[in-house]
Amino acid sequence: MIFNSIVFLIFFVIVFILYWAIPNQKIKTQNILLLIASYVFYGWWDWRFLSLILFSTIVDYFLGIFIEKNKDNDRKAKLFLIFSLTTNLGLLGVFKYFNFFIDSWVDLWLLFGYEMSYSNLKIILPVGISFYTFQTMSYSIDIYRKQLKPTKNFIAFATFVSLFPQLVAGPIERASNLIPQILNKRTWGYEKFKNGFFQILIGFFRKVVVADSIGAFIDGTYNNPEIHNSTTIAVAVLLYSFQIYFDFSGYSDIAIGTAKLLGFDFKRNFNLPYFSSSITEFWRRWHISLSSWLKDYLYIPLGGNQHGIVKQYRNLILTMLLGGLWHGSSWNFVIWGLIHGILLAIEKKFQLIPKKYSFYNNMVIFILVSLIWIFFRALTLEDSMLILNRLFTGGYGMLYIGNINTFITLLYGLVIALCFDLFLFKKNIPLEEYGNTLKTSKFVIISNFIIVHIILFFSSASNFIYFQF
Amino acid sequence: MKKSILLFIALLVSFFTIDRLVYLVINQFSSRVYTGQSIGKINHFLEVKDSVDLIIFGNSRALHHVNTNLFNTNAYNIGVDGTKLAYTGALLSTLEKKDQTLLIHVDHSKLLDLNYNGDDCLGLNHLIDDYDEIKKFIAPFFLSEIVISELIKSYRFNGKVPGIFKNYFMPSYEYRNYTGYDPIYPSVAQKEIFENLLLTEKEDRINININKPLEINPLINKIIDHIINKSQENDSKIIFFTSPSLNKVDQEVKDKIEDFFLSKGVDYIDYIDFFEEFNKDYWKDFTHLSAKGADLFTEELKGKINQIK
Repeated sequence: MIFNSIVFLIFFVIVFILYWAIPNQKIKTQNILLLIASYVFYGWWDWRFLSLILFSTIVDYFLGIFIEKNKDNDRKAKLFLIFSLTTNLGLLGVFKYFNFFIDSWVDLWLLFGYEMSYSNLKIILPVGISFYTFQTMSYSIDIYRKQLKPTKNFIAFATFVSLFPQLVAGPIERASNLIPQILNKRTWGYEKFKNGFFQILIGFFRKVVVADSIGAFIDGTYNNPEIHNSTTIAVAVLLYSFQIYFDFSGYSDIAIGTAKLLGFDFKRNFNLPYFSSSITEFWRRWHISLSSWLKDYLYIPLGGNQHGIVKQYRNLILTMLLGGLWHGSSWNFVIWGLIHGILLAIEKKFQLIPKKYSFYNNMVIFILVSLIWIFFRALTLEDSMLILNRLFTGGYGMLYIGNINTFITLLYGLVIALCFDLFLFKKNIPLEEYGNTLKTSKFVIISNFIIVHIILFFSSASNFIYFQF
Repeated sequence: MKKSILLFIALLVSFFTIDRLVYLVINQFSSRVYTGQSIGKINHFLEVKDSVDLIIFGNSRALHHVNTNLFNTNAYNIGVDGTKLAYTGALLSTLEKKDQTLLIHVDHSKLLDLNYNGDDCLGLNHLIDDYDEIKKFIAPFFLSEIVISELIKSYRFNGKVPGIFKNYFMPSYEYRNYTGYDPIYPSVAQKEIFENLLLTEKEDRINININKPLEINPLINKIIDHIINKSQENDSKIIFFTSPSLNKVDQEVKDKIEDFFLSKGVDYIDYIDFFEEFNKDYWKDFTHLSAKGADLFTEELKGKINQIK
């Protein structure tokens, strides 16, 4: 089930009504309802993979308790932690990386002239596996670090793992934030309703009007870069930066807003990332739940900045490289992460661009990030190199616009979305709290403006980019 | 909770009011537009459909390949980019005039595409209030879309607004002299793309998007029956045809399609291999002819139609 579908709308209305209609808003009943709803939500895509979530849930539930029970016996506690990490990483390894490693191994031997015969396994990547495994791993690690007490309430833990607004593409919620909310009474609030409803609308606008229109325009270029001239490729490269931002931040907005309507507060996942003056700042604003996860559970355990500059560089590069690999099993993602890691390392020593001119800094960082996105979007490494080659070797000609209606819609939606982001940036208001700053009449007018625009300009439903991760 | 419910009700009431207002405004503009494919050309077609003797239906390959100006008779080409047989079926349902010649463009791969669900006809859902035939055609396949269109009126103009306003304020041609045919004079960018495609093309372009065993999509079968019945009701002559393409098909596919139309008792002409030798000037890309190629093809088609009639 995807957010941008009628099925989800009907599903959510039913869940919402049942959820708040439960007498005295009994937590246990609400949690059972949320758990069932989350499994229906996930099972709508492929019910067979519910077993994976259930498996991961059972394993981490018990291991969390075992780690806590052995908190005074570090060797045993560590053993249980390793078991948890191996199980979760094992699931990821099999379902996400098996074919990638096999292919890479065969390619490596091919470099030495040895051709191996092999066949790939037909493995379907279960939606959201990268997100919920990271969530459960952080649960076990936090307990081991004595930063969190395990919950004995299985329903609450299962709800934490599978809560439908964040199940398939995040935000990656920490147990320390979410489990207490699951265990305690959620209250309905007028402010929460306004904030949540408004953020959902913005999320839909970003996704179905802006990101999908851009997708319709640039897919042709990225899928066949060899036939397009440098102008068309340059425009596609810049537009992809907006597509992925509005697609993923749109998803996060819908997730956070939906959760708010159910009484939950998720952490912010995007903070206007293209208004960054450095790559370091970009990563503080982009996919915050992942970057903070990588920092807390990878970069710091590797040593962070505690053991000299050389080790810090190594830790940064390694963290980003693995962060890249987390996105997908291809060398393109590895290179994408590696470049970001190298730039972050360089920034620790040198200031890449003077801080004096913030607007120009934003532009430079935007262009830099856009160029690195090429590796993220291109279908193959060869395509990435071809696109970069076209960009820097000229051959600029007429821009290929394709369908003029799509192009006008794209520009119109993009301008509105960017103006709104600029407004939030200038006013320094988080989107998560913007709805409530509006007076009722203004709230109604602006909401209707957005709804009518979504209806008139939405592009045909396509999946969220981050579902593939 | 009470305050939130009141706000929600206010949102709902204001939304449905604004939706109706938006619909009324756009509809006013829309009904006055006669250029542009998504709305204007359809309005023009609906105005002239019962005064012409020959109508060409189909997608962009019909639109760009059959030059209506070369026919001696009063003709209109209602080919629209990206549309398929359901769109044709819905439009054809509105015909009232007797004794017309109806040329329907079909592609081998589209007839055999089992994934096709007919959703192109939803491009006409802005007409469901004015044309009951279109509503009746769409409803069995997409009842939910009809319900949504009735509930949220502005939904009917999804994706069409830029075209409506652009063509209202800046019509790109004088529609009274327009017979529906859009010639292609490839631009520099288009020529560049096609040349690059020719250079990078490694595989034979045969049976692209065709899966075996060959099977006609049951929905298409149903729509073709509807088209045939409608033409019989109007005593019109119906001819299905495939225009030239550089995406070739093998003999098995050709036989399958010919046998299918034979079993329906209607005429079918397969011109996919019309150009025996490749001449770059006749093409915009692998599936679309330039104006030069289209004129040559139309002359041939014209002769053939006269023979059949």
